[in-house]
Amino acid sequence: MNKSIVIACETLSDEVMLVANELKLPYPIIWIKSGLHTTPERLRKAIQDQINRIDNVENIILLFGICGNSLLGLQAPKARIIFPKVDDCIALFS
Amino acid sequence: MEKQQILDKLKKAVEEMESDLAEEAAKEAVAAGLSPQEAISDGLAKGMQTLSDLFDEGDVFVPQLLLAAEAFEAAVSIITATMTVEEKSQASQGKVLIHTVQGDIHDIGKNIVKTMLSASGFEIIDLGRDVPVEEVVKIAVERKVDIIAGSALMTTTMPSQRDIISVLKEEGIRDQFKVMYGGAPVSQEWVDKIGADAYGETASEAIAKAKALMAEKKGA
Repeated sequence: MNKSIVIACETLSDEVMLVANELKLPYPIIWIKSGLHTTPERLRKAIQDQINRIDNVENIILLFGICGNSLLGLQAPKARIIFPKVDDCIALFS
Repeated sequence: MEKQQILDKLKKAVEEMESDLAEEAAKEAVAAGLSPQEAISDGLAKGMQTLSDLFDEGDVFVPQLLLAAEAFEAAVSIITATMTVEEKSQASQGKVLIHTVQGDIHDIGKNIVKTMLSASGFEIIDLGRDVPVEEVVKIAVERKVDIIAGSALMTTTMPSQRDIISVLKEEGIRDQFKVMYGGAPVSQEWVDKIGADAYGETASEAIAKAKALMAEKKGA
């Protein structure tokens, strides 16, 4: 069983928790607060800060879209980063 | 169920972004004989106002507005199902033609503005997206709208906003309409340059400008 952790945007919290409960998701979830996408640099830094604090996992699952290119340049030397191929959460909601 | 309870339920359904609850409350409103205007302006619209204020404060974001708008529209279609065209016209603050301009298909913001205008009592004719300039003018004339509203999300489609004004002038009907524009690359400067009447940076601002334009129209 892969050791994984989830980093997710708080805007999706209801939806993510619905899925997490249904699937009995065994991975911990770290929430990033909503709204940082308005300055993509800040969102990238917030996610990178979290990634930097994580160790001993194989997968870091990002529940984000590209969100204004906020995901560009993220580094995780010791883990695999996995994220959905989607522009942003608006596509999910509209 | 008492009238106030139903109104509160309508408001709550929009605030909690619950379409099912909104439909339920809408059916109760119809069964109780509430006037559509009242159900909308004293119930649903108050819920939209809450969300709009929270958005302006940075406490909720576009996804929440979309969900609230969905609940609002779900209730409105039930509530207005029995209204006649005349009744809808009479009740309204003004008739607005709204669209995303020729060449452009971004309509999420436009849809939020549409819902909020509707929540504020305006009668809306939504032509959708990528609407040819000529069609905008044609429908504006046919339906005798008060305000032409258009959204452009790309600098390459902003010229359509200017073209609409040109066509109105060419046909000698510029004065018949108030014209307001919005969209990410649009600005007050652009709107002034092309001779439109108003610019709204956010949905709430759009509502305020629409009301101001109607006041101008009536006062003039």
